[in-house]
Amino acid sequence: MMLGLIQLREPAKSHNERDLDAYLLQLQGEPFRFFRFSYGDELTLHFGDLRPARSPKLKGRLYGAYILGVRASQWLLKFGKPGMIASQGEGMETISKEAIETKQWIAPNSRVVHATSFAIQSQNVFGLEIRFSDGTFLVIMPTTETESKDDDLPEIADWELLSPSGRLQAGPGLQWSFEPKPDVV
Amino acid sequence: MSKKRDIRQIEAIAQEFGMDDEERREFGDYIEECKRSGEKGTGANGDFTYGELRDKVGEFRGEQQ
Repeated sequence: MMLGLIQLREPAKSHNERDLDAYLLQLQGEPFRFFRFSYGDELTLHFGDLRPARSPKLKGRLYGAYILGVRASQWLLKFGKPGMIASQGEGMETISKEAIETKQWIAPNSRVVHATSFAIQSQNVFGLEIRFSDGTFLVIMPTTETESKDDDLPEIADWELLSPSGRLQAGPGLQWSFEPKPDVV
Repeated sequence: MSKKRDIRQIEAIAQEFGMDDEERREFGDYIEECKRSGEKGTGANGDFTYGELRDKVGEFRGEQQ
């Protein structure tokens, strides 16, 4: 029998897809809580234990112990109910951000049963696939949107997972990194 | 302005003001809330400019203006 161990107290950086999947094991078994859109139309998914917001301006808002941010990537949700797909793009019935956030698209307390990355070599990016215990399925597919580089703004990851242990980021490009929280080190 | 650029702006503000990941996430949510409540920036399509986002950090943190 082969046993494995992941050190979440050490920073890590790699191009290796299997190692990235090992870090995604953090998310497995965590209950899904809710969707929330953040600035820039970024879809975020919250999992695990909930905590109140720290900012006095966000009273009453809750945050999951695990937050998956799709950043500027394309995403697609196939819901447990047959025939229901939500995504960004044209040719579909319009749905508001509020509708995504408030309806119970995913059965309450459904858990992550599978979180795995996949390399899209032709686009030089890591995608992400998450399966939930109610049959819902999320795919994140980074875009290769080209932007003018005539600014001093920082590059961002293609997607990221914040957890009690730290920050896992995939991209840009076929690389990923893990940065432990300072108080975890 | 592209969505990616909006997110990169939040990232830049977070770096400039020394926000940790949790605060960065909350700041992005706060700006989204401002936008949904009808506030508009002076950028294209009512987007907030970098300077306007900087100015929002104080109120987000509940600091005296």
